[in-house]
Amino acid sequence: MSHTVLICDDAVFMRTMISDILEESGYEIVGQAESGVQAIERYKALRPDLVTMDIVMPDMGGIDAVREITSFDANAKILMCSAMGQQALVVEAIQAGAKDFVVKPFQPSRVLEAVQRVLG
Amino acid sequence: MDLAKYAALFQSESREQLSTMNEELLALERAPTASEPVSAVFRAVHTMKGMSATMGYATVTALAHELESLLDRVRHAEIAVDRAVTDTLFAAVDALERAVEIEVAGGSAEEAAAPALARLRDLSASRARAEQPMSLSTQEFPIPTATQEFAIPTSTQEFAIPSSTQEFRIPTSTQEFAIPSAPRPAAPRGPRTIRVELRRLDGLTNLAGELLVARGRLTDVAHEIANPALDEALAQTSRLISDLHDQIMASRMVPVGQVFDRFPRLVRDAAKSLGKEIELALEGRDIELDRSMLDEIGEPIVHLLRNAADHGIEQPDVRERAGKPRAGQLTLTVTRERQMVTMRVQDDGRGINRDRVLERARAEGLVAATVESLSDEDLVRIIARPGFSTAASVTDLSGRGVGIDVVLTRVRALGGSVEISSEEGVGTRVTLRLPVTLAIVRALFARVEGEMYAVPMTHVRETVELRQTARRRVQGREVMMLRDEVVPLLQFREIVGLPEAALVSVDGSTQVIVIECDGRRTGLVVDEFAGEQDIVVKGFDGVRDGLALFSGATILADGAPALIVDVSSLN
Repeated sequence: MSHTVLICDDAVFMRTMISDILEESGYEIVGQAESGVQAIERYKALRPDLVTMDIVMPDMGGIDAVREITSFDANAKILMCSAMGQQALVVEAIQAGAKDFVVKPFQPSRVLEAVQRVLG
Repeated sequence: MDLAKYAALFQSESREQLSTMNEELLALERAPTASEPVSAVFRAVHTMKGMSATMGYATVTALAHELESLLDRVRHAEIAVDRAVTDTLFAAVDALERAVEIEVAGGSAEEAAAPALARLRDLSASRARAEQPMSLSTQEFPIPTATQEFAIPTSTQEFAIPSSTQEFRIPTSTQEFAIPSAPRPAAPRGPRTIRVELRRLDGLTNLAGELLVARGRLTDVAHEIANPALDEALAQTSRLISDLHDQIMASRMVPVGQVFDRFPRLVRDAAKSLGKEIELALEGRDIELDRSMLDEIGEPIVHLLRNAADHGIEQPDVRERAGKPRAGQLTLTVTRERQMVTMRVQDDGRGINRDRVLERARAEGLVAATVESLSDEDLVRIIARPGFSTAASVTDLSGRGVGIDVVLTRVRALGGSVEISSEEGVGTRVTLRLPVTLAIVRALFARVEGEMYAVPMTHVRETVELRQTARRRVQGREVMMLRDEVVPLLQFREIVGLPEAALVSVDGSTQVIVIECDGRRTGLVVDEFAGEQDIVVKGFDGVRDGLALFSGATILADGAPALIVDVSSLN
């Protein structure tokens, strides 16, 4: 059975691209969120196998969302999607419970590698 | 990966982000110490940077990066927001907008972006010296000179991750995430959208329109055959065609905010160049309008806003002396009532000087020399004359003179009407009333001397069979008594240059369409009513050739053309 994924990013562009990359490799995109608050809601409702999480989003940023999600489900598998120049934030996200990260601009192979790593 | 297919998505989403940036920068300019606008602009810029880097658009990425660095320092209170900062930010956002369009089109935006980029760096550098001599925080974000610098680390080890994170790396089997026994709820994806070229929607709209016309013809034929089974099948088909039409029209509707959200920025720039202070309030930006109508109406609204900024709202010191707040209030309100949309541009400026208008109107022979005062209606009639202007000087902002005629002509061509009310010293209000869609209108048909004419239903109050006894002459004008109201009558034959009808019906009654425009009613005498129908509006060159009586044309079920009467021109 294919793994289910929740994509969290405030840009439709990014969500579409990540979704295309993952769907092409057989992952099932079960939901999308465009803010940290939505990400938490959808995570609780969908219980996906994996979450891709943008760091900078309106309402609530990705790092706070990671904290909330991991406090709700310690086993949540979250992959951070960060932009260049956010090393400090990536570290913070990992400390908050994210499992790995990829850096924008994405290369499909890197994204897939990271996803496989996180899913074990 | 084929990036080309994402270019359109990138472009449309970038435009949204740019619109957010402009909106939030305006908020920042109003409240320079507020933190939320800075964060919002930062987020928008950051999102764009991520997208453009993915697309490989080097200039957009470099600009966004530089902008982000500056905003980051503003966010951390290293740089105080003053006019130099906001102006630089606005200029950078403009450059970003140009760069997006250029790079999406496949060009190089390097040259176009260079001045803004330099300005951002200069500002950053000067503030670094002045305010933060020791902490060169921008150095944390080296300026990417080539996209290669965005190289993705091959392994996570490149970043020092605290060893404690190792514990998260322990492979956990997926079984732990056992799917709940209950079926997974359907993913709440929210409204799903796809982007469709307007050209395709236009094609669909046209086809739906032709279908309506064909239905009309079919109904005629079925009526002649009078077969119950055929009638039933036709009734069902007819409903389906109506539903199809409604769905297509609904798919063309977009919120006016898509076009109007750029106006606050436009007004800000206009105010700056005039040395004025103007606050624009936008109300009803969620109201939906047919995309084609929205495209057409943008320009007239810009014209009205510029007029208000240029001629209406006074200089701050003048306003103060008049006991008004320094900043002029400009309001653009959009409201919808069934098939009509009202757009109102209101300012609290100096208003129209009726004496000056009257003086000019007398000089040009537009009113009798004996006229002492002007009503709102006279005012519209006079200032809407092409080239009429009382402006002492022509500014480059609102062009030559008042130019209300341009607005009026355009709005009438769209099947709408314009109303102006103005009080000297208090302000001016211009109200545009428009149908929500351009493509298809419901019209009442009238036959005059064998020709069919269409009168848009939006202007039809009622139709009456007028008895000879209800017709009167008042001050040399023919009028009709409609209940207790006196309504002036217009002979359609006379308007189109036909001789008076020789034929009067047996009982001496005439058929009159009561039309209403700008709150005034007029009775239009026609030979014969010929039913109601949805019509597809076709472009009509006559409008441009000065035939102001008609706003367009349509094709009837039998293939014959019919002219669409421009009701607002009949007053």
